[in-house]
Amino acid sequence: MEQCYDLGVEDLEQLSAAELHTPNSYLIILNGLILGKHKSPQRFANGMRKLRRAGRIREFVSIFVNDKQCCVYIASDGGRVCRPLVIAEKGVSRIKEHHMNELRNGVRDFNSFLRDGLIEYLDVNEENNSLIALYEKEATPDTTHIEIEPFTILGVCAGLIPYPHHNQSPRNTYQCAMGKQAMGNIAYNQLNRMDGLLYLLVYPQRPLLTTRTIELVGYDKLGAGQNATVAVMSYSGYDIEDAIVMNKSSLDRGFGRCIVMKKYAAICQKYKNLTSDRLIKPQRQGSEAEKMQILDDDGLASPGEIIRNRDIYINKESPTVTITQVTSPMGLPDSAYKSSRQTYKGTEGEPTVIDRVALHSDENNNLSIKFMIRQTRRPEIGDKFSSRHGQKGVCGIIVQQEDLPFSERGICPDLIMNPHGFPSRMTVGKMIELLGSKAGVSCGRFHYGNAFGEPSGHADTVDAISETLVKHGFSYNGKDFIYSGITGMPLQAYIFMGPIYYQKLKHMVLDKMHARGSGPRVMMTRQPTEGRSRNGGLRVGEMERDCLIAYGASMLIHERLMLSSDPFEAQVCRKCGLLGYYNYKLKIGICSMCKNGENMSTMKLPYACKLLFQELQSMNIVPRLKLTEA
Amino acid sequence: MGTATESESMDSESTSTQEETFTKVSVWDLPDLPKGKLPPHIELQRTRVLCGSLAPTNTENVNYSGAYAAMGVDNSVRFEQFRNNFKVEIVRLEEDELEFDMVGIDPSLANAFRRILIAELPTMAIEKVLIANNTSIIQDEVLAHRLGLIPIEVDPRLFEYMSENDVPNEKNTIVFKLHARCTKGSDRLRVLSSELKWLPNGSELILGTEHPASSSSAKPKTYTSFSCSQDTLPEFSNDPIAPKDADIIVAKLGPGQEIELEAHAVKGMGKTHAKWSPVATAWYRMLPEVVLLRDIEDDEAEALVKKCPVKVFDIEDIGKGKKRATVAQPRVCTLCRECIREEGWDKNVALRRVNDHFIFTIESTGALPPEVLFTEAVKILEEKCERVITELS
Repeated sequence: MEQCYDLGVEDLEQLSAAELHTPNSYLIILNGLILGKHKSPQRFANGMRKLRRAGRIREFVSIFVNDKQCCVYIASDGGRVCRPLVIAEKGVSRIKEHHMNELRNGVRDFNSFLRDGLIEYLDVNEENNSLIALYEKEATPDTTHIEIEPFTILGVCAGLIPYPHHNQSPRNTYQCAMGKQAMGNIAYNQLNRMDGLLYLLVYPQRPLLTTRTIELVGYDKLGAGQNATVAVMSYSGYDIEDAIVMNKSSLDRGFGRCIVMKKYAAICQKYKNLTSDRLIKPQRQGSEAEKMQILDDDGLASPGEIIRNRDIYINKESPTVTITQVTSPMGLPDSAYKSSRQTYKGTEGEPTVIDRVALHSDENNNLSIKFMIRQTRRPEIGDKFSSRHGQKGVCGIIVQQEDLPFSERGICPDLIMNPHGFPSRMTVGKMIELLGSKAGVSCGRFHYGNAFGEPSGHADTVDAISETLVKHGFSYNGKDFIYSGITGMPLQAYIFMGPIYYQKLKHMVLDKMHARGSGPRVMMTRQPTEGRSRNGGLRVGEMERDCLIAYGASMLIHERLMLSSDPFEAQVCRKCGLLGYYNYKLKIGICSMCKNGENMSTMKLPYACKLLFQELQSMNIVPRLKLTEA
Repeated sequence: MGTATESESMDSESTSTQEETFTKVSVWDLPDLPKGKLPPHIELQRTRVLCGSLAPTNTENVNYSGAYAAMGVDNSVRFEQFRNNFKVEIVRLEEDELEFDMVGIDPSLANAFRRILIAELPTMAIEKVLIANNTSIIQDEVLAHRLGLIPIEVDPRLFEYMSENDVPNEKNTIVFKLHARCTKGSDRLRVLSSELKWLPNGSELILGTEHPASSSSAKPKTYTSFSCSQDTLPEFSNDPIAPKDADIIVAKLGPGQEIELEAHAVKGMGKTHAKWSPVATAWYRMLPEVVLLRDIEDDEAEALVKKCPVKVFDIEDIGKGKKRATVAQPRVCTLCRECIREEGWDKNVALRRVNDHFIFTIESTGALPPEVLFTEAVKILEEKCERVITELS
């Protein structure tokens, strides 16, 4: 602040109203507080920046001149994203060859560049005051900064996309959201952690087409996908609407296999009266023995056991009295305990295994027991996959290897993608990825696809890739001569085929599929419950109802909205029009208003309707039913 | 296909292109062809796939026996003719790889062999893994899956299929044992497929339902019921069963970790699971035919030779300091179409495929040598044909 005043900021308190409103003076605002005014803001800002470059104020302080608002904003608070950029003077970079030599020799590091005022951090506001050149050679005399490297414009998520600058921008945005749902390795200690829900890939690979960002963030060490050989062609009709066709043999060999781990926790509670829950030995004989098969002698499920639906995984008992004092809290008789065992509610299908059991004490010093439960799944129809270009699709069909097309070299695709995914999405980057990966596998070198990387050599050009392809006997355009696996004859087109990095996303049908016949109902309305977790029904909603009305399918509406939902037989009084009740002793309906059962009739109506009538009555609105003979 | 009018119109088309003249020639003025022979351009359509620069054409072959009836040519397959023309020639035979030419056969048949090789030839593979102890970081299911994919060097013909309610016995099951331990304080250990030890007497793990006290005298019941040891059988007595490759990494063990398990291999087919497929892959390609449509000389010839990455073309001296391009080895053509990429070059070079000549490659996983695999595939196809015939009659 002092330095601001030194640079000629006039204190607000010493200014008159006229001075305050002079047109060409700027308000100086520090973190939202007005410091004062300055006559020549540009000179002030330059001065402040010089101070920052000299290290007199911190490197993350931003100075931003807003000409529209006649303000200079100085921000030093946290939460602003700052990017380092090379400072340029009159379009010439401050970093010279001898600096770089020093860097190479290890004399310099990043901080020394910062200290010497060669590099500075800009936040979003200050970026608007500067003219940033992508490359040194593009700098003009007006340029204030030069990018250290253009791909650093993108962060981690977008940095994983190869050739993002060839894609339509929304696709990159989609991929940034989708990359986070991809399965893979999460950390080196992933098998020691007790995550609530963990999705792992069994055989993760590093992408054949990498970027510098991938290397910098370690995505090549903890990958989240696999390189699949993709043929871009139509096959079988089960690939419409972005669905993909998968090779069964590839799945057999481990493609897309994943491990799902889920945590189940239990606490051995200690109570106020010094009693506590206890773990007891499982019964080895008798009716309960079957459900306790997987328990160890300590009453906990043992690691490595296969757990089935309704199996008990912790044989726990709780004392019946937990609040009032008992004489000997530790020596309670067996009768003073009630069972509070926990059973596993899972679905049939993939076998589920106890992976680990961890014991520890929680913040209240209770014994906490955590079970990791594991499932290994192979991809099935309906599982979601995505390439790195925002092109997601579900598996539409799984085909035997011998039915799939094969190339001149006997290569069979792992995955077939419909070409209709390309024209509207305009993900040219994906095509280049395919070419680059194909060249990569044939020449044995990982190819790069950095954002904006072609001029700086961080991305292989299509021409160079084509040349490599030709050298290894492929067509320059990546299209192969393919034979049909069904007829044995060549296909009437050359097929664009090569490896693309595919991610398996964590949305799997096994977790989502749901159907119900009869099942639980909500108590209040007697309608079926909602949601898969409650084994709920599938709702015929308003719009579906509209369709049925428009179609005139009255019986279907009646069946869906009442008979299959909440039918109720109500007693209605023909005289007063109110609902009565059924007297089981006299076997007649009685109207509680008229106090007799003379004019009662029975009718069917949705229970929700009856509920509405009663709720209306409770607020002094009387709904009366007028019945006529049907 | 092949009605009289159609073929005639094709006639006139081809003559005009062949002679590069665009004068109209009446159909009736065309030269007479010897009876029983197709005109050359139709013969080309019948026997070749044309690989243009944009797409292959003429990929469907003509199966209909009366397709060329209008020209007096019989297109039906005659057994005599087939027997005379059919030819198999082995190009390369290695331990696990076989390349051979199959000439004079329909693509559908060649494909049938390929499909049978991949999906319908049985082998033995580990199907059941009984894990006694696994403290390694690799999960039981994953370990079992990895074990399943290890090829086992054993003739599957000596075994029977195990159906659902069969008891595992010496005729349908091979039992392996794997016991690896990494002692504390030592380096990380790689468990290789060579550690899978064959148990000719069947399982050594005692069935869980068996009470050890009840039958102390009799042999305790295990997971298999072998009536005799497999190594007393003549086939295996001096040829112990083992994985084909000894250096496949099954798992890696850290200090103090241990794996103890028993793996049961059974007979199965590639269509149920890829681990039973006896081939890594089997495929064919049609014989490439590269034809120079005109003489390509001097600089053009040099350029053409340079274009091809696999050296299909060569240069020959025709005297007077002139050079001419020749097609030296069309067989190696990978169809990169580099030679016809440049504008107009498709008029100079024609890439074709002979549609009844197949270069067949079989990569065996090792259970059976590739040449045996092929004969087995032929037997299976034969069996299938016989079944169809008996069903029909």
